[in-house]
Amino acid sequence: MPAPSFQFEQVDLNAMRGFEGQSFKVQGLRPGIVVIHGPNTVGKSTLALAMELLLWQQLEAPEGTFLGARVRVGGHPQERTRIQDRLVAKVDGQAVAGSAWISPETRERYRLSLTDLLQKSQTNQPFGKHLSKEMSGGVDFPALRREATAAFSRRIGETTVYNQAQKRVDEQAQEQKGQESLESEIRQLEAAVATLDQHQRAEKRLTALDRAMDSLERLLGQDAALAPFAGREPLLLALREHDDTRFQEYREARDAAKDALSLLENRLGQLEDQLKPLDLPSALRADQLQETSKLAADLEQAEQAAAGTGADSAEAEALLADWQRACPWLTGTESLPELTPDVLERARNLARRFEQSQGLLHALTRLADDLGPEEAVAAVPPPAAAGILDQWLDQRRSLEALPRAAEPKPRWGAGAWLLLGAGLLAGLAAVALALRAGAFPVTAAVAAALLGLVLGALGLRPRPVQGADPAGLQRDLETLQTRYTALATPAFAPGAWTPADVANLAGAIRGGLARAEALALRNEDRIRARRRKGEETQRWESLRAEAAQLALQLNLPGETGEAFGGYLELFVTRLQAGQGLRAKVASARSLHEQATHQRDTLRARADGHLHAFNRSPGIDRGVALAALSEQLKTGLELQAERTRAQDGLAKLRQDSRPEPLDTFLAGLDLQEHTFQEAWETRQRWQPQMDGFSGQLKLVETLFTQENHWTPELQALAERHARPLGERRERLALIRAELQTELSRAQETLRLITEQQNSLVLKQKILKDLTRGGTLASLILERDLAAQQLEARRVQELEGRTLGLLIDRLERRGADEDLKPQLKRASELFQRFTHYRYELRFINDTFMAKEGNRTLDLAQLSEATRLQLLMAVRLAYVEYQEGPEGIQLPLFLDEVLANCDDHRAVAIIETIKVMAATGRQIFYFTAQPDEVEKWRTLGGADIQIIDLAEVRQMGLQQRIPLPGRDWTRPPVPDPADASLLEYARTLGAHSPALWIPLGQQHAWLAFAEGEQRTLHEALQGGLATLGQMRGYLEAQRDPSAESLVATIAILEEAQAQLQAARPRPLTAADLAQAEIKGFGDKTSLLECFSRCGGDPRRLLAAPIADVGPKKVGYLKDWLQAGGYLQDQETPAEEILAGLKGRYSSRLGLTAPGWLAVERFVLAAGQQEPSFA
Amino acid sequence: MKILCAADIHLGRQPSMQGFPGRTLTFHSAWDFVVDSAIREQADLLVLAGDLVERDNRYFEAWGPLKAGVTRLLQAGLTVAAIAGNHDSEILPRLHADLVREMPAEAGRFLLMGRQDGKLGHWTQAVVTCGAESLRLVGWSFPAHHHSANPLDGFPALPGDLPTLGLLHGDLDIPRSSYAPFTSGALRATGIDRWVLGHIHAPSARDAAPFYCGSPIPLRASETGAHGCFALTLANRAWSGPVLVPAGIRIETLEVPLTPADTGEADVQAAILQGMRAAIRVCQEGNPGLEGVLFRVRLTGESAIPAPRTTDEYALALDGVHAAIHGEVENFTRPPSSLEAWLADKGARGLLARLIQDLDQGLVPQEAWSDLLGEIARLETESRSAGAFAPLDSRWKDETIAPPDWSRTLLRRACVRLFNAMIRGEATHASA
Repeated sequence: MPAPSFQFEQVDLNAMRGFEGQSFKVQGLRPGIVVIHGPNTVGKSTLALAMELLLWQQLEAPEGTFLGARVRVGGHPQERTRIQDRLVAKVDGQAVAGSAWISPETRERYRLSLTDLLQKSQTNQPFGKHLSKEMSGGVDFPALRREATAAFSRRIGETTVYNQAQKRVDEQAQEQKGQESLESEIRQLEAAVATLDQHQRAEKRLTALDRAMDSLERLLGQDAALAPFAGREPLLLALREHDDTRFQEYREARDAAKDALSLLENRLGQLEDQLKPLDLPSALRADQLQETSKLAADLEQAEQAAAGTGADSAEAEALLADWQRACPWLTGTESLPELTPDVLERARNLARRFEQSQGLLHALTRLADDLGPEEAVAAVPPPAAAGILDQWLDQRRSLEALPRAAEPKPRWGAGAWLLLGAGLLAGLAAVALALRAGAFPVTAAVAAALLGLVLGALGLRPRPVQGADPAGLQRDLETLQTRYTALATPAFAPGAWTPADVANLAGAIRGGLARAEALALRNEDRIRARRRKGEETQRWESLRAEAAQLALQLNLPGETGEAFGGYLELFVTRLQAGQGLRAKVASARSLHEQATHQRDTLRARADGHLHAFNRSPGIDRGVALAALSEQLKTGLELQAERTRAQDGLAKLRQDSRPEPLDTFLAGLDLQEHTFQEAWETRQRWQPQMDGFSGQLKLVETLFTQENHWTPELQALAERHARPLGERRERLALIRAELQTELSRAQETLRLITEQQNSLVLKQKILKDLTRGGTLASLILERDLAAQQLEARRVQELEGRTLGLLIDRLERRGADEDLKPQLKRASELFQRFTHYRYELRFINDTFMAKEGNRTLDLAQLSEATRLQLLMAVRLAYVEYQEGPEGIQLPLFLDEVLANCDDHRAVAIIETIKVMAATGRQIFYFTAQPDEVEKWRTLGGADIQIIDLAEVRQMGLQQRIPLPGRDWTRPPVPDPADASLLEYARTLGAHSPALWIPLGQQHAWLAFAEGEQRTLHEALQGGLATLGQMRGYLEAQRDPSAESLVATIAILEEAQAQLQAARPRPLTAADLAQAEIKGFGDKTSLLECFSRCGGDPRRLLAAPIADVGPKKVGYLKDWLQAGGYLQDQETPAEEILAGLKGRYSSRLGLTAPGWLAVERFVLAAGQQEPSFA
Repeated sequence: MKILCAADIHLGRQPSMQGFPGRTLTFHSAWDFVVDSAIREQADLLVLAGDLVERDNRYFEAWGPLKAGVTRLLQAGLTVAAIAGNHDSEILPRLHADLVREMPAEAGRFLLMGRQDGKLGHWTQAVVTCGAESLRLVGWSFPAHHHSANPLDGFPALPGDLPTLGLLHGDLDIPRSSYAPFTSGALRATGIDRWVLGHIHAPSARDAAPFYCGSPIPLRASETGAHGCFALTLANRAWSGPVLVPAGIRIETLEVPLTPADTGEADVQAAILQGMRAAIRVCQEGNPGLEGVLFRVRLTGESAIPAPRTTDEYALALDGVHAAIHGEVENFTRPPSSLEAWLADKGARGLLARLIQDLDQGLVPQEAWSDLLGEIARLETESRSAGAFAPLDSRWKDETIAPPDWSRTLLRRACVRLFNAMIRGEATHASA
């Protein structure tokens, strides 16, 4: 019974790198041996890899891998899909567990490649070790042992690390132990430093004393300025502020008097110098200046007046001349009769009336024209007719209201109740009698009559309507009708005397009357207008006559007609203007003459005045007078100042008396310069003396505090004004003592400061030692090193334990594990070599035993080595799977290539035996001779697949367009067939949107009736549009331009359609795309398959484990790739656009547009169909 | 009277594990915790059962904080009673002398037990009175770093009938120890009500029994579980406690069992985080003031997923408790369902599978393997005295190594490692 196995039945290579867009299927795979052959690059290796990818979960797949397979596992069908790294296995649509994991080494055992195996068998020892590892369960025991013991060597380093860490701890601890006295040292130092403040204060005082003494010395040094007065110190001391002030005052007064005298003398000289060039009399008077100024002002005024009147006179003359030039026709008007105001008023009045009459006449003429001629008034009934009709209507209403008003309305009297009661009783009695007699109507009539009689007798009769006698009313109506007929014309007679007709007729009569009245009024207006116009015409004529008479009277020239009024007005106005201008000229001349005379008089006076001061009148007397006036003014001022200066000088000279300064100096018995020098010296000396005194006071204070205030110093203080030498000597002594004491203090302070620094340093050391954590860190490092070392010890123990375990296993495995595999390998090896060799495994080395000699691999031929290797591999595979395990497919790659027929037969036979157990074994080769070996030696059970043929079939199925046929068949004749029928005969397809236009059939460029041309083109080998376009463009035949244009438009049409239509989406597109969020596309592709490849359905359908966010990513990808179109442009719109764009190239009546239209309307199909 | 007990503070030793998130551990963190707890808990008496400082660091880094802490306690009015552990025999007498000199008024409340005539290694007594309660303290101090004799051999007779609290530092029931070995029986024979013990870092508080205080905070990553101080109460001559005053930090071992359903790294991550959260909840139940937990994570069960290489992303905060993983995640998983599948195999894998199963079930392995366990134990003993590891004393010994069980553990690790290597190196054709 065959063992359960894993068998491929079909492999779908949908997408894989290197085979993009060339998917193919290998179907009908059978159990047993399958030989797959084909030339290089046909895809054998790819197919083998695809099958391995469908077999092993962990195998890493190339980018964009999308595979499918139908397999049988243990006889049960299973669907397998692999998309990239995700392998999904399904049984009856339900996912089942795939292979959990598998190492690459194990997978390789199922793939036996000639080149690979031979490469690995180059050297015996590594090869043996490799196989030894395989034989021991794939575990490299030696490697594991090496790994486990690798850590042993590192322990030395870690021990060193630990020892060094411990050493550092010890060193640091020793160092700290050596500083255990640190705290007591610090306490001692703190006590010493506690006196620091006290010493610092003493040092400060000494330093201050030193500085004070220094200052004193410096001040004494500055007394050198007093050296010239060394013998006259009393004088200096005697000089006081008061003396100094008086000296200064006296000296300043003397200097001021001298300065004033000099100043006045200088000024007098200057004044004389200024007066002399003025050339004026020696004694000037103020009235001379006034007279000059007045004369200058009067002359200037007279000059201006003369100039002004001259200008006025000239202007008047010019105006008169202008008037005369403007009114030449008034020349001589001086002879006309005088135009009195009355005449002028009369003329103006006449003109105004003339104008009014003229305007009125024009208005009346327009009114008469507007009113037109009189109109005839149509006949209307007299107004009384309407009144008659109204009366008739009133009567008629009264008549209609009569029955309601006739109802009895009893009037109750005082005793009528008794009578009524009697009447009622009598009536009731009568009714009762009538009822009993059975003659009710009669009795009732009788009763009513009786009741009426009673009531009538009592005066309770029904109250009649006033004037509402129907008969009378009827008669009145008829009377009114008669009256109306007599009045009204027949045209206004009513057809029937109904109230409506009568009311309408009354309305019509009133309307007619109103219109007739209005027309009559208009006719009266017309008559009045014409009459008024006649009257006004007469008046206008009389005015015209009056004007003519006046003009004649005045002897006026010009028009006296309708414009007479304006003419007369103008004449009068101009004439008055001329008269005025003449008067103005006369007046201006007179004024000018007066002004000229006055000016000339003043000029003469000015000339005389100027001569009196020896001045020439010059060109402009005004300027000369003004200059004289200025000179007089200056001269007067200088003359006055000279007088004042002379008075002041006289007074200064008069006030001179003996100098107070001389008196002052004489009292001191000093010369002025001596006093000045002494005083200035004292000024310089005083601050020094003051500073000395102050400094001395400070020293006194300090020395008192320090008990150093000696009598000598006291004397110095009291006699600080004594000779300088004494003071210096004493100060030097004191200074020396002070320096000694200061040095001692500073030394003490320095020592304490050093202790303080030491204290700070030790405190810092203590702080660092206490808080630094140095030793703690070193201890931690030591601890970690110890832990590491301990971990290393444990690791070593684990390694040694592992080593012990491996030893035990190896000892046991040598007996239990390796034997069966070696035995089986040897058995296979014997079969492969026709029992010439046996297999031996000695010291990790495989040997071949032939008879009594043992050969290592290097001594074997290449083919024998290959047989040995295959034997070991196959034995391992069988051992690995075990008797109960599922047999997995083997993939052999040209392992027979180096075998002669003899060996090939042995291998093939052995493999056939293995295949007979149910294992599927694939053999890939590109060598036809190997295929032939399998075909001849393998027998009928071996399945042989030509992969090239399989792929060609796949291509043919996918692309229905016929390829280029080098043995071109005859082209059918179109005969009488239509274009569509001929295309069908040709086997051509309909327009296809996604097939490149150049690859589509040539018939698409032709229209009905062009079958013969198409036939010729096909006979010429132009089967596709691309061929045809290339040929025609090369020929440049003008007669073919329309065909070229048609193809170009078809190309544009296809491009626009592609842009306007969604691209067809394939599973390969999805599988190879990088879509965000879709690392695993298994569920996506399954859903895509369920949706029939429709992207919209795909987006709407639920996809397992895919949320809205991922669907959004998918939609984005579809839209970006053009697989989704939100709005598709209608074909008609595209067609219209093409016609608009290409009509200049291809006339709209050209047959080519039929081809374009057919293409645009039919090319929306995803796949081409046959026409 | 409220008594707070602490021991094995090892002031001056920096905890050897990484810091807790948001919390830095220093060489005086444990001592700070003890002092703060005593003041916060308003204890009347603080008893320190030895090893207050780390012997290697007894000069300044331990001395400064120790003196400052004791000063603070005395100034707060507490009485402090201490015995010297094997680390303290030098520093405690010095501390006592300094306190007497610098603060004589308060120094009387610092009781250095176990010193007589200026020498340590004796039993001494003291009576502490607080209100109406009086307590007798009796304690013994290490005279040197090592002391191989049983200190209880010279235990004195105690006068009167006051409630008594004994303080002792040393190894309990480890006869040949060089750290003052004593026995439970000897302790019982003293008739003392309560014994507070020091020397063992793992707390072992049990009601009415001698108890080790343990370290107030974990000082090494192996010191898992709750740490802290212990409070005893004496009222009307009756004891209650000890009650743990827990530290805000602790270290936990977290075993994360994986199953074949955990197929991705995210599953493993989720399982670890879930385990951490659950453990934090448990830890919080006994310690509301818990601040941080460090986890030593070990993956167990069956999984083909490798352990996470980095653990930085596992830091989390849950209800104010910060948690992180200490060290690497240990992977003790084995391939899914592989063990059972190979139990019947007659080859090496079958042998290993059967051996692992026996070890897991605590069975005695077959005779063929039993000598292997003995050989492993011998290897462990020999390795201690091997040249490279000779400098390591018992302080550094991995506390998880506890023969003879440990030889089984070691053998199992080797078996799993080898078995996994075999399985991962082969195809499981049955699942193909």
